[in-house]
Amino acid sequence: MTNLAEVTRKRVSKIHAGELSSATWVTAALFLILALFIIMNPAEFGTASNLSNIALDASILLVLAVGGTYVLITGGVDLSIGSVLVFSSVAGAKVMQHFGGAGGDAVIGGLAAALVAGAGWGFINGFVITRMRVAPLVVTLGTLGMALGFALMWAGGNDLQGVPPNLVYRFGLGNILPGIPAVATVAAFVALVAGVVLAWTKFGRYTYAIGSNSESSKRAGIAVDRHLIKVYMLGGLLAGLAGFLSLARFGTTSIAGHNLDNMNALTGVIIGGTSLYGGVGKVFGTVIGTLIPAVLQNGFVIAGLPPYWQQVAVGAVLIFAVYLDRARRDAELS
Amino acid sequence: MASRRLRPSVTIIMALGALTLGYVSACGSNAEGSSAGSAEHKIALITAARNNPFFSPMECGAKKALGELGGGKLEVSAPSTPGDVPGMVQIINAAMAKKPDAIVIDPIDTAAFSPALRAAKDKGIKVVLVDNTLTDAKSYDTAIGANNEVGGEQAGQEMVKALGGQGKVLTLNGFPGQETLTAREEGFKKAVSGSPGIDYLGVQYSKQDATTAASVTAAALAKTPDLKGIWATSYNDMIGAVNALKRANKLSQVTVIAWDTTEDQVKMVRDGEIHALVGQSPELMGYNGVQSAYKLFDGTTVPQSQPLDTLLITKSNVDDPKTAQYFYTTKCDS
Repeated sequence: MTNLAEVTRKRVSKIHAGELSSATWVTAALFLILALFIIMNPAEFGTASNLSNIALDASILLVLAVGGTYVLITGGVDLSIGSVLVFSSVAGAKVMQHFGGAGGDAVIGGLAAALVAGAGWGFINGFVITRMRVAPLVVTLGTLGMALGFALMWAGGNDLQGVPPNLVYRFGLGNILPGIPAVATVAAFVALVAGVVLAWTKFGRYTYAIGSNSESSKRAGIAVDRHLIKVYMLGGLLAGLAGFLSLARFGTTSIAGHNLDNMNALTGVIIGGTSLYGGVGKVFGTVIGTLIPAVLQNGFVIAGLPPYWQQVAVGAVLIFAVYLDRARRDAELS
Repeated sequence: MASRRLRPSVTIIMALGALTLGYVSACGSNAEGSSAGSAEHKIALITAARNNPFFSPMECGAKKALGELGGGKLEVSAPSTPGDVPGMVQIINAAMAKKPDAIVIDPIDTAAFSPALRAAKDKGIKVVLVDNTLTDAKSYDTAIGANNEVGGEQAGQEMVKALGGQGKVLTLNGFPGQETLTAREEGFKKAVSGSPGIDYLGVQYSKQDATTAASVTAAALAKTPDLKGIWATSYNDMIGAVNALKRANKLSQVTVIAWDTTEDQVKMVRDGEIHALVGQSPELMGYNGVQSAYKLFDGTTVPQSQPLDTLLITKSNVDDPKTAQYFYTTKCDS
C-alpha cells in the first residue's frame, strides 16, 4: 500500500514539475523575444502604444483560445470556433440592424444574439460528441463547414454592416484607461475568470479529470457527458463573444477573414503547454502562447524582416512546445 | 480570383461544408428562367451566389445585353451554398442536359471546372468565363475579367498624384503567390517606382484577415511614423488598415486607396475617410459575357482573353451616374 501511495505521490510531483518547466520555458521564450525586438528597435517596438497594439491584436484570438484550452484539456478538440465566430457575428449584426444600428438596444441585443448563437453551436458539438459518439475532430470539422455555410446563406454571401458607430469608436477602437484597449481588457478579464475557474473550482477539476481518464471519472460519479457538453458550450459561447468583439472592432462581419482562426487559436493553446493528450494545461500558458505569435508578427514588421519568417518562427516555437510536452510525458512514465 | 467574395481558402471550406451536408444543399440549384422574346438562343449563366452584391449586377448586365440583342433565353443558376464548387460543377452538368447554346460562368476555382466545361465544349456549347479564368485554355472560348495589373497602376498613379510625388507608401496584400492579388501589387509598384520622391516600402501580407491587416498596419506605423500612403488590394485589408489608422489618429495623415467597391467602402470615399477605390464592374462582366456568346454564335472571332478596364473612384466621380455600374449591389438599376 505504501508503495502505491509513494508511486502516486512521485508521479503527481513529476507532473507538476513538468508543467512548471513547460510554462516557464514558454514564458521565458516570450520575454526573450520581447527583449530581442526591444534591443533591435528600441524607439519603435518598446513604446507603450506599440505594446498596447500587440495586446489588442492578440485579444480576440485569446478569447477563442481560452475556450480551446478547456476543450483540449478534456482530450477533445474544437475546429469549428472560427466559423462559429463568423456565424455569431452575422447573428449579432442582423440583430443590430434590426434595432436600427444605433443605441443600447442594438448593442445589448447584438451581444446577446452572438452569445446565444455561439453557445448553440457549442451545444450541437457537445451533444453530437457525447450522445451520438462521433469523434470531436469529425463533429467540429462538420460544424466548421455548416456554421460558415449557414452564416454565408444568412448574410447573402456579403459582409454585413450596421454596427452602432458608438460601439466601434468608444469600445472597439477605444481605451478603458489611456493605453489600455477596451477589447483587450475584456479578453484579459475572460482569461482571468476562466483561469481561476479551471484551477480552483469543481468545474475545473472535472475538466482535468475527464481529460486524464474519462472512464475512472465516470466511476468516480462525474456526469462526464453533461460536463463535456458544458465545456463545448463554453467554447462556443467564447467564440460568440469573440464574434461580438470582432464586430465591435471592425464594424463589419469580415466573413472571409477567419479561415485560420481555429488553427491560430489551437497553436496558441499548444504553445502554452496544454497537452494534446488531455488532462494538462493552464489558461496562463494560453495567454503567453497567444501573445508569442502576435509579438512576432508586430516585431518582424518593425524589424523589416520578410513577413514569411514570422510563420517559420511560430512553427518552430509550436514544435518546441510540443516537444516539451512529450518530454514531460516520457519523464512521467520512466 | 478577381472577386473578393470567394477566395480559394473560403472555397475549400465551403466545399468541406457541402461535403458534410452530404451534398443535400449542393444539388439544389435555384435555377430560374427569365425569358425575353423569342427563344432563339439559350444561355446558361452560372454564378457562385444569388442575391449577392457581386453577382447580382452580373445577372443584370447579362439580362441587359440579351434585351439589346433582341431576345433569347437566360437561365441563371447558383449553388444554394454560396461558393460551393462541387455544387457549381453539378449545375454545369445539369445545365448541359438542357442543351444551352452557351454557358457563361464565373469559375471561382482555377481548375475544378475544366473537365465539365471541356465536355460542354465538345458538345458544341460555347463557354464564356467571366470574372475569373481557368488554367486550362482548352476548356473555354473566351475569358472576360478585370485587368488587375492596370487597376494597380491606376491606384499607384493616383497615389503619386495625391501625395504630390513625395512620401513613404506600402501595399497590404492578402496572400503571396496569388496571381490576381500579385498583379494588383505589381501594377501599383510599377506606377509608384516611376516617381523618385516616393519611397516604396514594399508589401505586407494579411491573409485577408482584418485583424492581421490592422496588426501589420499598426506595426508599420510604429516603424514608419511618417507613412503617407497605403494600397489595400482587397476589402478586409482596407478594413484592417483603416482600423489601425483610426486607433493611431492618423487616418487624415495617410492616403488609403483600396480595391473593391462595397457599400461601406463607397460611403468612406464619399465621407473622405479614404481617398480612392479601384472598381471592377460585375455588371460589365455579365453584359460583355452575353455579347461575346452572341459573337461566337455568329462565328465572329473573339480574343480568348478580354481584359476589362477598372475605374478609379474618388470623391470627384463617386456620384457620377456612370460610376454606379462599378458598385457591388443587389439591385438592378435598369
